[in-house]
Amino acid sequence: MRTKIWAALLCLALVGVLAGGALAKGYPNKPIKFIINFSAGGTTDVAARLMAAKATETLKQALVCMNRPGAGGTLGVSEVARAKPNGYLIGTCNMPAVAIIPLIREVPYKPYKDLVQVCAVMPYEYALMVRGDAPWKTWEDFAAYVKKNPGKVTYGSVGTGTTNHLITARIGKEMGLDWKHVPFQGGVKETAALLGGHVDMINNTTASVASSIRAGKIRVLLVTSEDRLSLCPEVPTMKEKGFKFSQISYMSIVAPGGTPQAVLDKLSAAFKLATADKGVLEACAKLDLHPKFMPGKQYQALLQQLSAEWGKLLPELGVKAKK
Amino acid sequence: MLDTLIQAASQALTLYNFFGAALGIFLGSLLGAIPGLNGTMAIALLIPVTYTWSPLFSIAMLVGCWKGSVYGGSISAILLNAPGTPEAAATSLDGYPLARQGKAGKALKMALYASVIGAVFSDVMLMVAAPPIAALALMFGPAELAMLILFALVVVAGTGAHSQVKGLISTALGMLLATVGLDPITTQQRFTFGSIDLDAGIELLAMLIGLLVMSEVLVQMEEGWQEAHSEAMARSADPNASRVTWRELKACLGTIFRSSLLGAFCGALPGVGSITAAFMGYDQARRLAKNPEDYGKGELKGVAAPEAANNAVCGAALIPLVTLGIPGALSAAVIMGAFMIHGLAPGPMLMTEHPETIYGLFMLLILSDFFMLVIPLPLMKLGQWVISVPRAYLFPVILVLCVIGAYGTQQNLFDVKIMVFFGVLGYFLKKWGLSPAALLIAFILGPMAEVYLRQALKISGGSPMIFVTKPLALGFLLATVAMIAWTAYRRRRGKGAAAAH
Repeated sequence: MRTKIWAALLCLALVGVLAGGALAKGYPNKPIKFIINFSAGGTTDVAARLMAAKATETLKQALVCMNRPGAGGTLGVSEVARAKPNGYLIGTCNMPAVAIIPLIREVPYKPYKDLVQVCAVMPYEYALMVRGDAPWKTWEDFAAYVKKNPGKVTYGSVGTGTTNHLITARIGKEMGLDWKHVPFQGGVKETAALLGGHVDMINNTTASVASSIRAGKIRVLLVTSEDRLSLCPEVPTMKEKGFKFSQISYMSIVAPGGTPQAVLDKLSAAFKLATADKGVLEACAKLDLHPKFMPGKQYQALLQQLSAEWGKLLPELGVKAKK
Repeated sequence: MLDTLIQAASQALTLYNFFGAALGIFLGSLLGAIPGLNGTMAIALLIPVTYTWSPLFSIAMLVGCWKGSVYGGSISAILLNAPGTPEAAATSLDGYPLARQGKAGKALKMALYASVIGAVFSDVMLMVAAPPIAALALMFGPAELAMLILFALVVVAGTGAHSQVKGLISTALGMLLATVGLDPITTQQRFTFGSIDLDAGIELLAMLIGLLVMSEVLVQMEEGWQEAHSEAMARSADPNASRVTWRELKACLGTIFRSSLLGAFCGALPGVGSITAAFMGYDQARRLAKNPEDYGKGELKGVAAPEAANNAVCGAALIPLVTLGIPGALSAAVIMGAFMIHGLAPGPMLMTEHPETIYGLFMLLILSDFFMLVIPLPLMKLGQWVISVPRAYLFPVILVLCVIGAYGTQQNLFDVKIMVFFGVLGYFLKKWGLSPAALLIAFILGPMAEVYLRQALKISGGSPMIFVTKPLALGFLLATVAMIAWTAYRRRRGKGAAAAH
């Protein structure tokens, strides 16, 4: 009797091993859970769902979208980090959830061990903006005004420790500007405060305020992303103005650490197709979003470099770092 | 202009779009009426489905769903004392006592009429006065909002508690619970005990389902035990008990109008929301009433006021959305996604680039308000039949729905634990005469007060003078002081009158 049980267990184990080996070959043979780490209706959500729909066609298995927002994107990411590394639960990821927030507070995952970047799919486009009727026409005007009025000017971000906050603080530090940071809870309230004249300047994604920019209610002074933006091609980037850094943050796709390379390759290929798909690009362009593919390894290296950079800078910018 | 309107009408007023709006209202009021499930959940689940549908159809359906659920919540609030949606928490304060007196039908109809009037009022504001209202909303920065929330806190603090001290205890408890999560300014963890699930704070819907619905099941279960048999609610034989007379409606119109105005105001301000509106509506009625002592014991105006206010939020929440690209409430943010998916980027250009779609939407919204007069009627009947089912059969079902509802919004098992915890807590609160409703509204207003206060002080560089030098902020500060003085005066006079007896 006992031998029979052992034999049965051995068979089961064998099946398990074989199934594991066959996993990558037959992948995916069931629907994939796709965790979106921001709330439904936002730009990340819309872009992620459009790409997931395309990837579903390529992989011939459904990517089932689930929103798991909260805590600066770390809640959704931690769920991916906890999952089995078999490629059936993946998610979206924002740069700070991996490269910055773990430096500031405890998160239940090791960003480069429990997670692996499948690929980056869309750079967010950021800029410094003022109200359309503000007296400053250029970045130089504004910077000169801040210098002349130390401690008077306020700028808004979408929260402490976000790229919006950190990049702006870093600009201020390099130029020796004395201005005040006001963290808002999300882009909506930040934009409302700018439009109402309660803060002088904000750093925000341009896509979320595209309509206000076109209507002249908001003026873009300086593009903080790497390249000029199609929304306001006449506005220079901070690199052109001599800064040695820029605001780099992609939406990326992450899988649990230890996911087989073959699975990662399949996923990456599917999302590469999605970021080049005409339908996806057109739908995104209507919202001023511009998907762009970057291989996972390259993005992971970029994140590690950013982590190292911010690790040194955080204390200097007055952000309490984790002990 | 006329061209645009005609074009808008031909685009919007089709059978297909009517069907969308009606379907939304039906789904919303059904899910809203079921304790545990709610409309926000329905909207979040529907969004991906609307990808392939036309913008007008899907937006009309989503807004219908929202409005329907805001009304639907009152059905279970009145019949079971278990508000189906957070917005209906204030409605149960007087709605349930009315139902116990056998006047469930009257309360349900009053809630419906007040809801429809509030909704129409708000949609008309959206259609005719969106730009000036949006400009007014923008004048509220952190300093103004901090004082507005302070005023709101003073107005609603202690709602539904048995005594002032117990009301204040409930309020303090709510504000304390709201501090769990990331510090809004520094993003450091507070009271999270190393749990990442608590980093985002206590999930409002899960907490609410526990606090308001599950606790009520426990309370009534205990009553059932003591009575040794489960008894269905008595129904009055008087036909007037199940309808609203013209006279009663007329007596409530002033309250309904004030509530609608308040609701529209709360809706237009980004982030103030419909729960706050409902409580503000209820408390303005109670505080301005000649008979404040009747509130909480089955006052019809206490049903009309919160329902008019919370429905007036919906249309007004779209004002900053279509004019500025800023959603006025959580559900409006989700609906903003529906605009975006269809390539309609919300903001100042929306009106100029797609006027026919926007005006078409306005027309559909106002029309769908009238659908709301009819569609929930069968649900009311059904609801009244449901409460005639013995409680022993009814409550297990509600408990299961609570679990589904807590899990459903974010598909997170942790939220179910939160729900159960607050269910048990709510039971004891009710036993001790503390008010779960007061706890809830403090839980919502507390963090707002904190964030806006700290933001305002960041802007002013730490000087509290910002609350005095800004005229709107000063206005609300003075109103707060006046409110406290007036309450104290009324209490003294009340005591004096009692002593004279």
